[in-house]
Amino acid sequence: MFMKSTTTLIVTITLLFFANKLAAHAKLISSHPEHQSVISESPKELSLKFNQGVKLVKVELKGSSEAMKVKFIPSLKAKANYSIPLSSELQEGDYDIHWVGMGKDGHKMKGIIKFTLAKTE
Amino acid sequence: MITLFEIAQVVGKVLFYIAISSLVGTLSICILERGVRGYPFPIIRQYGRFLTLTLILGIIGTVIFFFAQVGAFAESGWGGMFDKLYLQLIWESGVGDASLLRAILLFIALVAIVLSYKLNNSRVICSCSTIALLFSILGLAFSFTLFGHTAELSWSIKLMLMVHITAMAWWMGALWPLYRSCERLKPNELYRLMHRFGRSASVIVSLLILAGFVLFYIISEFSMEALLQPYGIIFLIKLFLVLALLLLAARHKLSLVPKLSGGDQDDFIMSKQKLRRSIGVEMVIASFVLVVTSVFTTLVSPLH
Repeated sequence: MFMKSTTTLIVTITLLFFANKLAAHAKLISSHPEHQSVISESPKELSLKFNQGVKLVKVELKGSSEAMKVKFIPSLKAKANYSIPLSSELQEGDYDIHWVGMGKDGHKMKGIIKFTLAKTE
Repeated sequence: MITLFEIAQVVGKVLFYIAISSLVGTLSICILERGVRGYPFPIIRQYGRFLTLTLILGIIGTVIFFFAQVGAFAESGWGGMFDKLYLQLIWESGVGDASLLRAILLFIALVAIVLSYKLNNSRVICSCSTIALLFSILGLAFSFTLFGHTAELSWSIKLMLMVHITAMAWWMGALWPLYRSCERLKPNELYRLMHRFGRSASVIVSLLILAGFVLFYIISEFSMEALLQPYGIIFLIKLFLVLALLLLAARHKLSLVPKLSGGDQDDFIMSKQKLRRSIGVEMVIASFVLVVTSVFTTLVSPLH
């Protein structure tokens, strides 16, 4: 009797909980410039697009020799789309965009977007 | 590369796990022992010093975890832990809510324990303390749903996480009071306590394992590939440790506990010592389970 009621309880709970949809974590879905892309014109802004709201708190643009200035204001409100204006035109070379954000679940998210600027004459 | 802030988060979580486990486990054993020995109320005060220590460690762990989160986000050395922007970011997130709730509830539990420890034999105080402790346990289990993988999932998954946490705390936290009971109780008392514990464990541990599997399935979007990722590998290590605990628990229930009754005094002493040693081994493995769980929920994440 005891084992029977325990088994019934366990099976009921299993069925109830398996009915839920699966988890979906916040992630970067696209950016401009794109990761591993080669562009021919200096971008006027950097843009990051996430699949859900993220609090973006750090964006740094690093060239091969030094860090570049970006007009980034950390966001304490979650947003899915971010546009960060660049304060000056970029020179030819390889660049890394380092970003740090917080997903809705409180987890730290970070990534690097690499791109190359090769101006055409 | 694991940073010092990540290690601090793991340490903070382990300290908090120890606090919630000792609270749930000790209270449960006191309630079981009350039935065995015929006391009018739970004899929580005999574990007063032990619980005072573990609850203080839990509060320290909660503070360490909060500031380690701030430092990890700031990425600017130790000073980053006190950066105003990142403090605000963490404070306004689920981590901030959970940390505040945990610190308040651990403090309430601490006051309840100290009062029942100091005011010996006061039935009213002991009853109020027990209610305060049950309220704290419920709130502490709820705090796990405020951040992490389950924070964005439905209420039923959150409820399942609360069941998993409470059952884990019940099992891991019961080991120290049971170890102590082997030293203190008379033969028939120890036998009845272990028998009652074993009967409760068959239900609670089943729920714990079932909830654990379902949570892993949902969070990792289960596949064979998921088991080969660091998240899956650490899950398998945890599973292996839990299996070892289950084997020990089965040995207690089927072999060691039955030997506690029916024999003479020498048989009882020998069986009691064997049981005590075995619970000691269980405690060591349980400690590893808590550390692995902390790593599992802090340093690795399912890739999808």
